[in-house]
Amino acid sequence: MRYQGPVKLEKKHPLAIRWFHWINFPSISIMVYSGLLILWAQDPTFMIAGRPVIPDGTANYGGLGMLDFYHWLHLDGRLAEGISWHFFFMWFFAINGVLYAAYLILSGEWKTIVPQRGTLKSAMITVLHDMHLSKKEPPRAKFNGAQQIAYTTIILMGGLEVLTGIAIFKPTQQSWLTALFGGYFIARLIHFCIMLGFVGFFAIHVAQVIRAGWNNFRAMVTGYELAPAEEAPPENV
Amino acid sequence: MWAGLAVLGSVGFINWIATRSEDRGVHWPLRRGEDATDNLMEEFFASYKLAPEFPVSQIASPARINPSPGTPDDPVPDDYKLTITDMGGNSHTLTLDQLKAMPSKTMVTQFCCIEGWSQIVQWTGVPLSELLIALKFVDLAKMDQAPKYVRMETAQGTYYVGWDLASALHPQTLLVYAMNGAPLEPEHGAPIRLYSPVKYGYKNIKWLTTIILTNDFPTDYWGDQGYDWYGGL
Repeated sequence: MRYQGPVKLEKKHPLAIRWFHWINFPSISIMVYSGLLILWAQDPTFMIAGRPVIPDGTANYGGLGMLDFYHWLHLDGRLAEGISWHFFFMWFFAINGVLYAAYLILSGEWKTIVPQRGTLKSAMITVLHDMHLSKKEPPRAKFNGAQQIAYTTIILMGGLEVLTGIAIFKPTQQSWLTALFGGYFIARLIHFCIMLGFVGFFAIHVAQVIRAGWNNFRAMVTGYELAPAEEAPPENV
Repeated sequence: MWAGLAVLGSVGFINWIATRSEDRGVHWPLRRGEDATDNLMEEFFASYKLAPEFPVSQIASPARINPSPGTPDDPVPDDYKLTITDMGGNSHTLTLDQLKAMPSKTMVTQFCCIEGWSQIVQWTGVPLSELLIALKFVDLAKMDQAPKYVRMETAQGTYYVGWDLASALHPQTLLVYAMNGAPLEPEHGAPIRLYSPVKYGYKNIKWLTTIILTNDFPTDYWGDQGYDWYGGL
């Protein structure tokens, strides 16, 4: 049911958060795309259907044209190009991420994101509600439990992505880090799996934003959201 | 408002990069970025940090061969000789036996290919630093006068690499003549190849015959085709 009563403008996202968010989005897009250009040269995963992988992690691409999504998407034979983009935008992604984490800590905004007591229960209610399995409304707060868990996880994944990236980028100079992740091959695998997580997060995140509507999206651009003038603010995404 | 401009700006920025002319195979802003990153890494990391060694049990067998086009063949003459020259006109030629008579080093380290695969290999060879010092091409007491780069080539110059001097003098940078306890195979670069755990495989030239110490920036085979010049690990 759409709220029809009086509305007011309510400050939602600080300017810094909006900058971090919108610098992160193109950076991570370039990182995923250029990462696939790099991955083509030596796909370490077992996840791509039909690709035989021999025990040392090398994939055999022969005779698999039908399953070759790299070829479909014109991602093949562009390793050097992929590396050059990846090693350029890694700075934007990493520095933006570090500044974002520092801002969360220094501004106290972390309190709205980090899970606390009751988060799990709130998350369950939200998930059941959003999947239309329950009519019970999620608690009204800036971020509900499901969001807190998702956003905290994605920040930790970002940190882990940077660390596994360093482990792959400098396996000699930072060999302790490479060893910590279980060696070069495992570090690559983790780096890749986290990327899949980012893509999964993106899909759900965009679906939820579309569900929540224009008012919600606009808040991440302008910082303000229309809220009921008298009652408690509605659920936000 | 401003955040919205940030998105438009980012798209414009990415598009601007993608439409710039190429420098050695990649859009020049990306090439500048890689060069700047390399300089930063060179400053930030100690050149002499040793790469970790691995137990012999982890050696990969068989050692993977990356044939042409990874490394185009360049047949080595039967009367193999290694020639070293510098800017001052000094030149020295060694036979394989003379090289093998020098103090050698054996180590088990990881070989990383820019394609993403890696293997643990045992390498036996003469540290390039000790050879250059013994033949007085490099004087550790006069490093301010030392050449900045080392260019290395195959017999016909089909394959060539350019190294910064610090990486060339790394104690684990070897002129390799044996691999995994056996004489180096022709496909792996016999009789002499370069190997160092501080660089990606494409910098580790096979069938090495010529070493030139120089202040002129030496490009390299894959560096000219879009790959990073420094290639540091």
